[in-house]
Amino acid sequence: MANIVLNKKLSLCFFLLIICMANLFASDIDVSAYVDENTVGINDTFKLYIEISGSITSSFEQPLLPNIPFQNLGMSQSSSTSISVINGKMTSVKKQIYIYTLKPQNMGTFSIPAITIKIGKDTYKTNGVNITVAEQGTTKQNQPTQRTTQTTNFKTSGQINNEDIVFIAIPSKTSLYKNETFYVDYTIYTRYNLQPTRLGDEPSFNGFWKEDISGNANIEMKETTWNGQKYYSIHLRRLALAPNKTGTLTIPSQTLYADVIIPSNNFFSFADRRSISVQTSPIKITVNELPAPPKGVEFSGAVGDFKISSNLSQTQLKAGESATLTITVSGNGNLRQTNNPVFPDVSNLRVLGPETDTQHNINNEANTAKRVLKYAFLPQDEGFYNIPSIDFTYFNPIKKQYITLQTSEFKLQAERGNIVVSTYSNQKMINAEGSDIGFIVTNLRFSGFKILFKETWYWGLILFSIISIPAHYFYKLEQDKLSNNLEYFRTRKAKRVLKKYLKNTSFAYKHQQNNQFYDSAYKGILQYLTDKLSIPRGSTQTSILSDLREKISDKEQIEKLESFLNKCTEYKYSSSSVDNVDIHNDYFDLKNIVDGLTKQL
Amino acid sequence: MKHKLLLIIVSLFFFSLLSATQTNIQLLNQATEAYKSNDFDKALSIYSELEKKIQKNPDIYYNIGNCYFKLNRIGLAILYYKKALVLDSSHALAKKNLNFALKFTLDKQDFENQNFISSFFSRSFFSLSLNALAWVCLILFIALIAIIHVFLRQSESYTHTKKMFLISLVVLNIIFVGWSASRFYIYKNNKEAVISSPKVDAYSGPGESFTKLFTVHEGLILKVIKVDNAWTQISLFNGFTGWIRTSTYKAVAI
Repeated sequence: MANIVLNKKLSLCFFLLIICMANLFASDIDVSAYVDENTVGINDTFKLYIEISGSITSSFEQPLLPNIPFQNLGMSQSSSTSISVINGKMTSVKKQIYIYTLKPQNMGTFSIPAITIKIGKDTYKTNGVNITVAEQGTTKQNQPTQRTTQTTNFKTSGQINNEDIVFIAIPSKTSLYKNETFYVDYTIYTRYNLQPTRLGDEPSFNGFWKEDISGNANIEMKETTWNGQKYYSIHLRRLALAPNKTGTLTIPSQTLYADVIIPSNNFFSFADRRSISVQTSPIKITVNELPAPPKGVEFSGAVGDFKISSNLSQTQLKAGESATLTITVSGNGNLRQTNNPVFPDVSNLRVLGPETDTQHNINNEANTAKRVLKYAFLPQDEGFYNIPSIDFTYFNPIKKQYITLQTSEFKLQAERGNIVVSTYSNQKMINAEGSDIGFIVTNLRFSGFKILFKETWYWGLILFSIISIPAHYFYKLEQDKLSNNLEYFRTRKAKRVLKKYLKNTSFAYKHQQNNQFYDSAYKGILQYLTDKLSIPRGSTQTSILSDLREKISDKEQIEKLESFLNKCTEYKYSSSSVDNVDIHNDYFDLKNIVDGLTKQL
Repeated sequence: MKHKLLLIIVSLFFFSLLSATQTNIQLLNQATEAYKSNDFDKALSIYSELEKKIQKNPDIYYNIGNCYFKLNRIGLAILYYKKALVLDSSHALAKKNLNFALKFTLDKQDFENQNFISSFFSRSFFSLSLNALAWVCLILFIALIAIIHVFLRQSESYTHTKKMFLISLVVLNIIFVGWSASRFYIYKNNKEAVISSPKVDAYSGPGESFTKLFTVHEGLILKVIKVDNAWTQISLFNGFTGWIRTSTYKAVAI
């Protein structure tokens, strides 16, 4: 428990210590401003240094220059940190220097006021600096000695003369034909150790087609002699230009910004960097019109000196393949603006393309250009195809004449089944070449032609379907009646039941089965009567007959029936006592009785 | 014995029928060959014979029309195309050839200069042939009868959908019966005729003593208003009416 309290106390102490230390270091910061030359020439530049040193812990911003009568050409900065341990105490010192390159605008004596720098929460002020601008800077001129230990022969004088640094643009030609390609080389000649920083804004080249072909070549300083004097030259840039107008054209001037490094004489000071700006002078170019091309020649628009070569990828084709004709035009000239050679029509040969690719500075050789044209051939049918030679006409400005180059001819063999379906199509609209009536009908029907509305079967079918509705309706009514009334159903069925029994009787009569005959006759008549009279089946003979008497007035008929029924009950079971004559009579009796009954009921 | 006799009679009947078709096929082949070899006169005579044998066949009428066209009798060609279309208004070949032949008449017959709605109406009105309409009517009618039967059988379950079905069938029947009836009326009372003489003068009355009104040429389609022996009152598509000689035109009606 006590341990923890101790720890807490210790950490608090430590924390307090850190805060004290930080405050201690913060008060250590030193800010100063100084210049490299107090007296400068009007054409010279000088550097203003703003130095911040000390144990800086918090961040700070780049100091803002006050309104001063000098042109600010740019700012650079350097920083360093040194750590020293003295008596076991570590101190870290940071140094930040801002270097402003300034150029005077007017002569006289000027003072750079104190510059405010904000570091963390605190603000610091530099000391003021006085500058005298004279017609010529004096400080460096007065230094009489040059360092003899130099390995290079750079001029080290602080005063830069116009002759010492020259930036020039050199065209390869000043009088040329329209569309003829020429080159402009930008070179800086210097006697100082010079480092180009950047080119000025790109001027507009009116009337020229322009391409920067300097590439990514290293900027090298070479020792050369120019105008009889020894210079160091740096080739900065190469432009390929082709005038697209005739007359006098101007290549505009180009600005270059560079730093001149002047080594210091003082052992303790570093080399001096001075920013300068130089300009090329504009160049006038005379452009002549091309002579008219000879008649019948397709001028490609190319001006220069060219070679042509051609190559066919394969001379024999299989199904689904295409051959590629590669035409390479190479040489010096404006290849990018030339028209592609026109490929003549070959029947049944579909030509796609060309696909073009133009390159400059082939194999790092200046003034060269190459254009590769690729035509794809798709034969539409089998056979041999002659691929004709293609003309390419250009103007040679040196020979001052038009020159026509030809590719070589090729033969192409396409094998069978070589039909290529391509998205490229040269379909045409179908044109009517004539008009006529349609052809006769040859497979006509012999059945004749019948108007259905005049056909009997048609109307018969319609009539039938119409009749079917009332028929269905009445049938349905009947069905309803039957399903609702069982007695009605029985009376309707009675005759059918009687018929069934009579069939049995006649069968029995024919086969001399006597008791069968009487039995079915008896049963048939009784069942018929019970159904017809709507009395329960199985009623006795007497009750049926009494009911019948109420219905039928003909007494004789009933007596006949009664006697027949009695006879039936008598003979039903005894088989032997009936002779054939009797049964014959009884059969006809039965027929009469049934006829009478069905008529009266 | 009776059955055998019947069999012989029936087979004889079919045989004779078959042989008749056989000769017809031969005739037809001859006509086709003649037409192919540009002998249109011969083809025409065979087709005319066939026309008498097989009455009312739109294809025969169409072929006769073609022969007349090839023989440069535009009026008769138009007449026979019209006849084919009267029997079968959906005869695409006849329609096409009629439109083609109409371009060769001296008189411009601008039937297509109608407004859009009326032309659409007349096109759809004649889009189905009379027999096609008859079939549609028959099927619709039987369908209606069938659904009535269903209703009679299941009198208890009148569902909404069944009722809607019945109503739509009734409406369809009315539409098609009306359509067919009007088409049949047009068929029966076809007043159309085609000028068959090269040049025909029309007068304001039945006789050449009347004022001459206009002149029409072969192939013009007209409507007969009234026939008065040798003279007929006609009306043209553009509303002109006049009297021409009855012998100078042929009626389309079959």
